[in-house]
Amino acid sequence: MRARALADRLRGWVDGLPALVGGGAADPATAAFCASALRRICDEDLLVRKVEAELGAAPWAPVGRVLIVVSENDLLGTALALLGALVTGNQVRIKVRHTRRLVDSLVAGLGVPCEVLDWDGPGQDDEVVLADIDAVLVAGGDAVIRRYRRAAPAHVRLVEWGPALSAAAIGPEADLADDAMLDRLVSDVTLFGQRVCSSPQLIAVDPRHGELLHARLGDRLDALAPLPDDERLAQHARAAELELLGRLDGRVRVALDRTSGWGVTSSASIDPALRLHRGFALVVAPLADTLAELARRHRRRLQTLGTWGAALPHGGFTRVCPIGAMHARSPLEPHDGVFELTRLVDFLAS
Amino acid sequence: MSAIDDLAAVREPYAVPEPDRLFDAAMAECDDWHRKRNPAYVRLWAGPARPVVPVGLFKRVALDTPTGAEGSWLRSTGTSGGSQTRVFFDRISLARIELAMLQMFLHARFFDLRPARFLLLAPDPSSGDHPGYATAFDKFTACAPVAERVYACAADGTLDPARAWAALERWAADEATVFVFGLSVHLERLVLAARRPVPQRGVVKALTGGGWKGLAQSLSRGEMVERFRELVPAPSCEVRDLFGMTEHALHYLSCAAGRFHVPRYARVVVVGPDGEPAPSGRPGLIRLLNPFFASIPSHDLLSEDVGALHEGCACGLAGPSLEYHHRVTTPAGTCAAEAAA
Repeated sequence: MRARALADRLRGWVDGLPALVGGGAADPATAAFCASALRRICDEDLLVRKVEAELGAAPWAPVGRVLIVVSENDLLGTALALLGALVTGNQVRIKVRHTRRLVDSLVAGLGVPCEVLDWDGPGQDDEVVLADIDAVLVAGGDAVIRRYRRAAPAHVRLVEWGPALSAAAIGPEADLADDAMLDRLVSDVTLFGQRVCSSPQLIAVDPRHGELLHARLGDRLDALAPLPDDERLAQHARAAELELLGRLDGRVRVALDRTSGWGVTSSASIDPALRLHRGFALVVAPLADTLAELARRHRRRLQTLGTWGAALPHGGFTRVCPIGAMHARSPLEPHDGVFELTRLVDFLAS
Repeated sequence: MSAIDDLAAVREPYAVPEPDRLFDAAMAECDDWHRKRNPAYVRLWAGPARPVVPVGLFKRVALDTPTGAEGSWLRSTGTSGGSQTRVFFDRISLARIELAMLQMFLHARFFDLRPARFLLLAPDPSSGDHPGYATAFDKFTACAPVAERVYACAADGTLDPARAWAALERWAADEATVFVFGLSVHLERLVLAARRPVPQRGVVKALTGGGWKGLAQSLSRGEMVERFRELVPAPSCEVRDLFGMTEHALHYLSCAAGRFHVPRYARVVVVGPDGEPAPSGRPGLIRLLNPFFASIPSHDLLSEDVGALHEGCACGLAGPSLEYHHRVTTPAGTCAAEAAA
């Protein structure tokens, strides 16, 4: 069976994954997290179960040749997109930019024929890239999605994972003395360098916890893995700006660790201009108000809501989970509200 | 005369005494000026130390200091996150800036006493509301008597390469010096649009800088300069780089080695990733100090540009020189940041 064979080969590849840190897009913690998630796919037979759960007993056929264009910030997402297209029997062409070595290694490890194209800039020859393609799986920002909408012929199926926003919510029942829970919150924010859709870009906090959470997170900043130097410079400039803005009107408070480059901000607004580029952005206001504002401002763009000390409805988010599990979406769960394998096959009737 | 005016009147721009009491006195005078007239600026002070104001703050809040003098508003290009700063160039500030810039142009030998031709890769500043670079380049034409001035950009800021090349062809047989001022992105478009070389009888002096953010760059600066020299062969073709921003009073001309020398009118500090001054040669954020602006408290300005400071330079001029690297990279553009914006 295709799924089982892929899973077996994946297991062999995953065992070498930590050595790829630096060649891929991951820091050591993220690489370890990704390796663990991929091992779970093998150990729990998740590929086989995913095919059974999503495609069921109805007859289906692969859509054909799939072009994969994914955000390379998300090592796990890249691997899952490739596995999804292969497990449904499609032929695959994948475009890479920074993660060529990693993708080459994965493709070799899976032992399947796959075209790997280098990213060739905005002047790419779309006709060549899209030649004989039946579906494009594109994950990334608005610009890349718009590009493929324009470039792809009408018969090509577009499977789009657009930009999404995730958040954490800390309710009145949260016990901020619980170090393990704080560790989980820190992990959710910092894994993948806060670059992926499931990374909480802001943390809605019940007002009674705002001060203490700001202080407790501030105490942990110096222990975090340092951001790259260029990002630390950007953080420094932004923190200086927010610091002075706070002196002017008190709308925002900021603490930046100069060694790691990570920081904490507190304000009562979801306005991204009041946050650092990277960090723990506390929105200190009644949770219901913050979540309602997010739903209003980011319609159909909300993805994961991590909760601690509050039972919350989905409210526009497609996934709600406890803090610490924000990146741990099971392959059996829908992705942004969609069972992804169904988009990579044609269901047949006779 | 105030200390600031004395500093602006210094005629040896690169002879810096140590310690430079005049510069320190001018900065203190500038602090006093803004603190007496600008309550918002007063709120930025959290203690005895002067606040270093990030350039982004001027794009968020109005921090103007009333001067009571006449002048004109200029705006930045909006290359930092798309937002722009409007800066009031009052008569007092402008006089100081022009005086100092004149000395810097003279020292760089970027002038001519004979009437010269000017090709401006910029719109005519009087044709509408344009970013400050249009006015800055126009003011640079004070470096020689103007025989003719051609603006190669339409009123909407778009470059018309045909208009630029037509001017160069018309001037080709003349011995007058040709000055070319403009954004680097426009010089790149100019050379990419060229059909054939247009040799000049006179000397050519070009000065370009900035204007790249958000625009695809096909050529490196070195390639662009080399291509320009091939396309405009002349007895001498000098192409210099320019570094500056609307919120800072001075523009810096590159030397023969491509560095920006820090004149006596200013101080430059490079701030490392840890927020401390970076060691010589190490990259960091460029912090610029200059007391000439009476209309905004940007005399201690943290830019969003990355560079490295060196002591001395291959061109032979002593003192600190700045090597410009790039605009600081922000994580905007990641999937998550885009959704959050």
